[in-house]
Amino acid sequence: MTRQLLSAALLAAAMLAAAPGSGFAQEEPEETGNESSGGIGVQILSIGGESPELGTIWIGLDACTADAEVEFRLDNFPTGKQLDVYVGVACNTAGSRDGEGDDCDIIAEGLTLRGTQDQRVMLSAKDIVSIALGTEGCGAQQSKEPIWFLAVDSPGTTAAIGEDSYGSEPLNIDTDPPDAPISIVGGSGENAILVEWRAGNENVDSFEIYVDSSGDGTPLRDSGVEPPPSSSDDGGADEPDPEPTGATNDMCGSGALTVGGSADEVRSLLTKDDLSATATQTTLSASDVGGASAAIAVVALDEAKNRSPLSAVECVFVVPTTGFKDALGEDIPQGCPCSAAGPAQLEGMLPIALALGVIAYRRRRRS
Amino acid sequence: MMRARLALLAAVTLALFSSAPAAAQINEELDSPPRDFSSTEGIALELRIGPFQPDNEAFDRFFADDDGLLLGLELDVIAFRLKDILYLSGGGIVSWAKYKGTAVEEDGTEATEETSLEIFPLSLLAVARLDVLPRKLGIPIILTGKLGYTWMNWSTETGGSDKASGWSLGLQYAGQIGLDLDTFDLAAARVMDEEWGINHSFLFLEVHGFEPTGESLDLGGMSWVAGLGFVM
Repeated sequence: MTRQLLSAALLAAAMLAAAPGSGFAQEEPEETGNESSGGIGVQILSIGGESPELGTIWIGLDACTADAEVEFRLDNFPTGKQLDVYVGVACNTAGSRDGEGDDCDIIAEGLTLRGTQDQRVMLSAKDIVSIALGTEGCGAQQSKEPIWFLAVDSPGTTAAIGEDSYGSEPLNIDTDPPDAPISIVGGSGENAILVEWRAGNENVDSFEIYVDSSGDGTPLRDSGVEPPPSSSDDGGADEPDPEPTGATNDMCGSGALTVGGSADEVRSLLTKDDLSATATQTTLSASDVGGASAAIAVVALDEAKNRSPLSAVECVFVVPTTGFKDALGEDIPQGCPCSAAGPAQLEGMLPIALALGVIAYRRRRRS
Repeated sequence: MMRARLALLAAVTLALFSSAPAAAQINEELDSPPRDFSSTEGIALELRIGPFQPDNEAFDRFFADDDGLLLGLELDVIAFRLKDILYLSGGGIVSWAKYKGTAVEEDGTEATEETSLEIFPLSLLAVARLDVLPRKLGIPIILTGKLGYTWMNWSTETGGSDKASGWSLGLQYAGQIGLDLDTFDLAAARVMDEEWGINHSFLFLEVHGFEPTGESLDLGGMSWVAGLGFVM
């Protein structure tokens, strides 16, 4: 009887320990969007002072070239130990950090932390990138090898690290900007001016549209100046645009947008960063264009927010147009004084008609 | 021993008496004419799809290449049924079509701006459906005539603005030829009736016309529509 009671008590204790939120349950690490492993909790708090968005956290070219600081938060760090930081594969195992082969490379060694919880570690984005990619500078590559935080007794040790003495975090590095968008087409219209393009390569997450307005000046549409070459002229061939030439489009805009150049100097800047990679067209309003015409160019962004060079520069024109309504003339017959009703009312009649039909059908079946 | 014989006699008698009504019922079912399996017919339903282009000069200018595809749903309530010969019904059709075209600049060149027209016709109709051919003669042809009135709501916009809307009202008429599917597979028709209450099903091709009044925007025209119909 005593043995049964003891077993029941043990079972209850085990269930309590496993129950989420119980005092016995181990605290789960804070949600960061990335999975970490090992006993040390690792979280990327900021890159260049900015908090990363939820989801996959990327270190991009801008952070690297600006040598931004990447701030990590460590929890459950064992007392009395020092911190080594590596990037690579399975850096907690013996032999992975012995310098032979290219398993793991050291980023920082022998750092001292003051406590065990909420410990902040600042690392140089440039150091992380150059070591992870094995390049001198920021390179133009991608890497997804994790970063490892090892609690060690002697810095630089190559011995295996116990489960409670390390933590890792997926490290997504992308310093390879996408290609500039191609096949740019600028449209004309009165209220909705179409802009179309195609992605230069597949490494694209979103786009930005830049508009360099000409103001109210007369569009230079008939100036006879040829626009810079763009793939929109090639009949839709799949070849990418030629190398950036620095040319602008002399038929519109102020000349601030140049092929392959930067958008930093553009006046009347319009950014559309909510476009997905699959949305390769948008419409500008007349106020977006800001005058009779404007030069437009498109920039592609990847997941790491690396920006492509500017695309070819094309023109958009605000011109009076005639649509179906205009073609109907001034006095459009309204048919009846029932214009307060509309499609919504008609849509509403459909379920009513169906309900009436069903009622009639059931009554007939009963009879 | 005596008790055993009495028990056996009682059991046999009970069995005979209990099976007698069932046997009588079986004989009665075998002797009687086949039961009419069909359920009561209350409504007719048509799923409709077909091209439609109004005879309108402005329409032709912008939407000449767009058939729209008029999608529709018709529901008729059967008011009178002359068995295996004729249905007389009253019903309605709700349809929808959208047309897209390109606005033009002052010099007549096409802009990249979109101009669109959306129509939402609602029709109330009297329907006469003649099904004597498949029911009496085994010829799978159903003939239908429709006459009624249509309220067509229309709306247009160019470049997301420059909007207008209104109504176009007028006479609606149609002639339909249907292919009765029951004729080809009576067993399947019976299953559909027993499982779903669908008495008859048919494919159809319909020619329909809309004649708007003089006060309405002229979005009338003739066209055809095809679809699948059910009598339930």
